[in-house]
Amino acid sequence: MTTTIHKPTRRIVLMGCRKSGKTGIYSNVFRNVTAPDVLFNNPISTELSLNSFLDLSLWDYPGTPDLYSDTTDPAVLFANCICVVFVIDSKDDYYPALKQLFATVSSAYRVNKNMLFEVFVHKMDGLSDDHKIGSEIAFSIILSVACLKPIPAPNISNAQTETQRDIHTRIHDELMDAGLQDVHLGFHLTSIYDHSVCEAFSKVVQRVLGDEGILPTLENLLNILCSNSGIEKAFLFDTVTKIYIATDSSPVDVQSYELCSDMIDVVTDTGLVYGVDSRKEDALDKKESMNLEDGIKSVIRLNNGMVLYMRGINRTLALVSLLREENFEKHGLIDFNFSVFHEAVSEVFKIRSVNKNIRL
Amino acid sequence: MKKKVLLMGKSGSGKTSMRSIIFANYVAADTRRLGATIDIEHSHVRFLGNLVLNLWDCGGQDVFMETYFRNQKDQIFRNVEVLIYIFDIESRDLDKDLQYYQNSLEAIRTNSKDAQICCLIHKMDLIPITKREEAFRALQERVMNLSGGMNVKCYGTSIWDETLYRAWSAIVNSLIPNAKYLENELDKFCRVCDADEIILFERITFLAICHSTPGEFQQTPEDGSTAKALLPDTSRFEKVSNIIKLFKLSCAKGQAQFKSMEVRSPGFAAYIDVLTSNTYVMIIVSDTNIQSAAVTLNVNAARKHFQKIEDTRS
Repeated sequence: MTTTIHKPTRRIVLMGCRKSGKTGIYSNVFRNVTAPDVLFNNPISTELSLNSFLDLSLWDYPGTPDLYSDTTDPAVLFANCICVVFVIDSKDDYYPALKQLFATVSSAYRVNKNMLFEVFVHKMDGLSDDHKIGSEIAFSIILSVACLKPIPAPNISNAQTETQRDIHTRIHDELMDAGLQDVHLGFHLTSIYDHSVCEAFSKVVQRVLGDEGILPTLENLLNILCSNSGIEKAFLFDTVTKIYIATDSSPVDVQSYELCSDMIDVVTDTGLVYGVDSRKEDALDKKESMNLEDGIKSVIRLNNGMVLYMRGINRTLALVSLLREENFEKHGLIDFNFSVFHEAVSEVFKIRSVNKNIRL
Repeated sequence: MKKKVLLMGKSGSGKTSMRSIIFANYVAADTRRLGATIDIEHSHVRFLGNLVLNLWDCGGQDVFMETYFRNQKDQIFRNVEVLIYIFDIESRDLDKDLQYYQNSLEAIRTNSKDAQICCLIHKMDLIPITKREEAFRALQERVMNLSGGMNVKCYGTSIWDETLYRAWSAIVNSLIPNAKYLENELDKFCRVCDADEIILFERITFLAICHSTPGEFQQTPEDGSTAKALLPDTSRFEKVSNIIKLFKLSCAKGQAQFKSMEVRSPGFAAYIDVLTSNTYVMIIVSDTNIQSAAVTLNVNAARKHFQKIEDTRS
């Protein structure tokens, strides 16, 4: 994935306490390492250029950067950084993490007033479903900044205990005192054992894209495609990381996202089995050599009358959509609509790459 | 037709886990919930409609093991079709495992001498990839030495990848009656479709039960030069099993069931569809001039014939 030709100008920094799972997230989402194999990771600091159309790089920063010390200059650390993803281990004591989060937010904010902050409450898989609802940590961390951004999660329905109120006010007051009430924190419950981390990253990338004004265009195109083809839900996916960079404006439900994301797995995996030279050893190499550009096309039918329809757009992008079987009868029409959509999306990226002078 | 399959191995080696994944639609992560098996758990699994696998999942704690060999020898080891012995690659007391294995072999030899024996060297995922082959060979050699010339097959498996499907596919294949006939029919079907490969999967487990690959895989390069042969991935059947099974499970999460799939990419087209009441078929076509409608038509036409084969088997 790393392109040496172009070095992205902006970066997302992945931070958090030691062993909070930063590198796990990094390898799971961007390196295609399966969840159990993540255990073999070594703590490291790495930088990775994301796919060229995103023009972003992701920096996996080692745990416990002492932001107060004189040796780390925040100006250097957060140079070119547009977004900080802060990972908190939900199974660990979270007070130190909150403290560090606060330190990170305040020093990063001083460097760049427009910095985006996203907090991943990670390792949610360690908690059973019942616990997730009752889980004090998930509660309290989310509620601690609920005033900064309301979270549409069913998990935080009722009952606020004293502790939660405590942390809530504490973080809020602290941010207020430091004059940081404008800081926008996004919260996500994540786990590398399911789709939540990819989904959270999708939201992060979309916020970044939204900041730069490309997202509304893509969303609009998707809306047009959906309404003209009888598509219920459409995602524009990055096929390697399974991050979706845009979707139409109808609400996203987790199930259809999971289904679409799993479809990419099925299609690329079958492609790996049959479509490419099996002599290539490295899985990533294989994915590279798989040519999605020439239009991979896939249709999956389900017995509840839904059809999953996937089309490749370029080397790394694909459209995955969900529609009713009766609307799929005229699939020639949908194919045509898709080709129009394809052209439009390519146009968007072309203009953007001219503006940014990057190689697509 | 009932076939008795014994699952043995020390406690915690993963017998119940693998059984749950293959036959009860568990995903690998779910198996953490499983507790230890007490005594013997019997389960009947209907496979391909009329073949019933009678699985004896024998709890592996020492107390149970001792009683199996002391008091229940006849009962357990009689009429066994397949003995599946599971070794934990990271076992702390391998000598004891091997001792029990030897005991089981002896019991099998006296009570059902035609039984097949399969050793699964399990939990390979615990070994870093680079050392897996070596670790497998080392244990395989020890197992083989103890097997005293009996026909024992060894597989390295893990519930986290497709290796488990490979082993079980092989085991189950050996139990299917008139597999040869089925293969011939599949070959014919393959020729009719002009397909590069056709694979038949069992519906519930999605284990590959039969396949037909008439020739070398061909791929026409885009520059129009001569076609070169593609080396097919030798573990492709179990990979497909794994891929589709996982997808089926994620469909089930959304209260839907997987029905059919079509993937068209520049080099090949793959179709998966229901064939008979107990099977799915996967057709691989590399000639991109063949339209998907044609393949669907062929599958529809073949459906009746294969259903008949299946029915006559009962």
